[in-house]
Amino acid sequence: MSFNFNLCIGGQQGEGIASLGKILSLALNEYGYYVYGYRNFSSRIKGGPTSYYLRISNEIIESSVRNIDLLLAFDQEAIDNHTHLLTENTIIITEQNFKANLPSKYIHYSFPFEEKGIKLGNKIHSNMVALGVISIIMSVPLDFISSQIKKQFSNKARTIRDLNLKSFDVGKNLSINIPKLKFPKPTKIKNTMVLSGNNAISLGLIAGGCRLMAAYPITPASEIMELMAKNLPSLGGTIIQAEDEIAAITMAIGSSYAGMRSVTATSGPGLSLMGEAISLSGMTEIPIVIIDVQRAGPSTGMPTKQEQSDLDCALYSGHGEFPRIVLSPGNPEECFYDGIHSLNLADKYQCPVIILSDLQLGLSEYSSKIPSYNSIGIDRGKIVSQEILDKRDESESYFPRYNITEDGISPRTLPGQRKGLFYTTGVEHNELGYTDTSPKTRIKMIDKRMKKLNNIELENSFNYNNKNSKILLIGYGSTKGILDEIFKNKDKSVDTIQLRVLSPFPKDSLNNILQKYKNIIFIENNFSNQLYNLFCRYLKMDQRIDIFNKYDGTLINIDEIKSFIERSVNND
Amino acid sequence: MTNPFNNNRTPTWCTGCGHFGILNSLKTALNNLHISPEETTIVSGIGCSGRIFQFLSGYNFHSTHGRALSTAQGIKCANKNLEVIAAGGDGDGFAIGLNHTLHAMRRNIDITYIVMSNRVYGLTKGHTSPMSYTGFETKSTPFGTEDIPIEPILLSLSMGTGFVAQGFSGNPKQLTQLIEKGIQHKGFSFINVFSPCVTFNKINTYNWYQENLYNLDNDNNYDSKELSIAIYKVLKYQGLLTGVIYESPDNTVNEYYYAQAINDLQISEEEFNKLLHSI
Repeated sequence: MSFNFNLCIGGQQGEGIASLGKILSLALNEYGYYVYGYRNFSSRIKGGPTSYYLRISNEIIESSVRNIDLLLAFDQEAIDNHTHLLTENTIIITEQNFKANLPSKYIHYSFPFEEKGIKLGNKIHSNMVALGVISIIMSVPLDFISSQIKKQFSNKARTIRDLNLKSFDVGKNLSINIPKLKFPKPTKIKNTMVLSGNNAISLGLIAGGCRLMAAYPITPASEIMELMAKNLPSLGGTIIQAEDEIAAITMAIGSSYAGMRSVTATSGPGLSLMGEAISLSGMTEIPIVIIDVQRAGPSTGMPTKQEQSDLDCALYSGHGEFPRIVLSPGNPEECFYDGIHSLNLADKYQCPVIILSDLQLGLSEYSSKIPSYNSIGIDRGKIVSQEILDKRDESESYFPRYNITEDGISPRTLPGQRKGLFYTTGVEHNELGYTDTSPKTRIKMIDKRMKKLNNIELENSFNYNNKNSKILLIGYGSTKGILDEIFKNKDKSVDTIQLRVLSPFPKDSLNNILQKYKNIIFIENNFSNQLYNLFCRYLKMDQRIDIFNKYDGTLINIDEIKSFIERSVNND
Repeated sequence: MTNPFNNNRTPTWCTGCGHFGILNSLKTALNNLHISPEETTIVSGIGCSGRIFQFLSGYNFHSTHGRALSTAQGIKCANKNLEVIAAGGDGDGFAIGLNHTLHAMRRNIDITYIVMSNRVYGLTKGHTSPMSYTGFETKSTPFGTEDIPIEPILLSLSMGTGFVAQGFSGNPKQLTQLIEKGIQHKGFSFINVFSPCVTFNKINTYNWYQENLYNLDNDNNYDSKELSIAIYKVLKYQGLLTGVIYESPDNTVNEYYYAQAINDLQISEEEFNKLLHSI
């Protein structure tokens, strides 16, 4: 890793820490670095500790590292919470209004942020004062910062915007005599934009033709609904905040039945509630896209903490048997792609499609490749046109919606079309949709539905990084950042597999690859090894297996994976 | 001229079931209004009542228990040109689906909701319903239920529903008119229909209703546009009245959630760049 810098800003919620972090990350991205920002917060509105971690590099970074190079602490709690992540080279900058309790070996400066903020009119301005200080210390070209400050406050009153700029100025002058850090010049070739996974999914859904979203707010998925709410109406679409998750998914299913590309987004608790409706979509073969931005469970769990423990729920919730697709993007670029792709897959296979994201992916801010307009393609699958229906005989007002076909997927008509009538029911049914629970029809229909994804591997079901190493590291979702960085690391020889499709499980392709390895390591962001268990369900898995588990709600950092790999290699 | 909603399917309901009357009135009302099956979606829930979806023509949807209304609203928002009618029993709408019923009333989207109320759970073979009167003995309440029964008319009036009516399977002519009016009303229409279950409710029978119902049609002075009078009448007759109980003089409908018809889902490059900048 050529250049890597990890900054941490810690204080109380409501003090503008997130704003500070955001401006800095946008400015640094624009200046030409790759950034990766993550905000740690608690389930409160004001008060309670919050930290913003910002990693800066000249190479693509999509994961967090362990140690902090610069800590900006607005209170003692911010120091205490991070002591274990500091090294002897860490620069610690603190608010002057409290006596920082730290061992003297750290490089430490303190500044009167709050005093200056109050002098400017309000304590809250202390965050911009602090921004001025660290911008100078980090030698960030100041124009990039001030232009981001202007953008951030562009929809507020001019006085507020100017006050923030002024606070920034005050901060700049405070740190004039402090030694500056020297960072290498940014070397990024193509422009990137700062994108979170949630925003990227929304962009993909809109680009992919989703025009109805019904959802219930839940951390950490609400941003998806919020961005859709802002943008769908001007495109003729609509968004409904439903009374609960069950209403949300059934509204989306109704809308999809009527022919509109529809989606809902939630987290673990909502996914549990949606189980019956997922089963309804499977039985009635109505396309539906559901996004689960996983958080720590079970039950209410830890709403603002990272975990990947919904894999089993995504794969198996919804009683009975029916085919479903589960996609797992690993960075915002893949989130954008999956947003479009999920809608195409749902229409093609006429089944539920779950996009399994996670809190870290959903909320972190990445320097992301800018989504490309040319990558958008919309395919509505087997929807019968009115033209074709008009060619049918006058007497044929009914249409065999559930006709038995070669691939199990039946052409579908839409409400409103002439000569296309059919019935839809969650009860077992015949080709026209009338309820029919006779053994003969049952076998026909189960076979038909289950055929759709039987022995099928979707394109690009996983990303495989291969340099013929002896060790294979496997993960999905936000662990992509770690997988890719470990692979690029010259010190280690580790190949990686990042799952992109968890259902249908790409067992044949994976089998061929796994055979080559003696040592396989799974990164499990949960206790019960859900990803490994999925592999075991379909593959022999007689290699030596090591499993890294993390379920404390904090992010997996690349350093602890490196240590784990070393220990695993040494134990061999 | 035959009714295009007839589909020659024999309902599986018991002989004498009140739901036959609702089915017939619904088919007649739709046909009288010159609505075609191709532009109609009946969305039903679970129960004997739910089976109605396949006893008449239309792009009909038999949804999950209690969720007919949310499914129906999703359909209407996706294609506002469809005539969307939700139908279900008293359990579907007022036990498991009560939450959705209340919010559908608040949302005031232009759909008609027909509750086929028999004050019992028939399809599961005799269990208490939220509209069963206290003391009603069933397999799950062998000593008689103590719960206070839900009075759906007061409930819907308090939610601001713009068209509230009550019908009776034993008065099909009135029921047809109520359904026509409900469909024609712009906004959420609620029609509760007393529909006796001849097999599992031996208390609230046709005779019982005939003796206890007060018909607003016979009341020449009744002004259905006065909310306070409607509430008074409901209280006075303990909910046992038929006819149009309330029709809001404002006659508003919520079109906020309707999607616009979209020919091309692919957005232009300009629109796409605008999207990127909106982040």
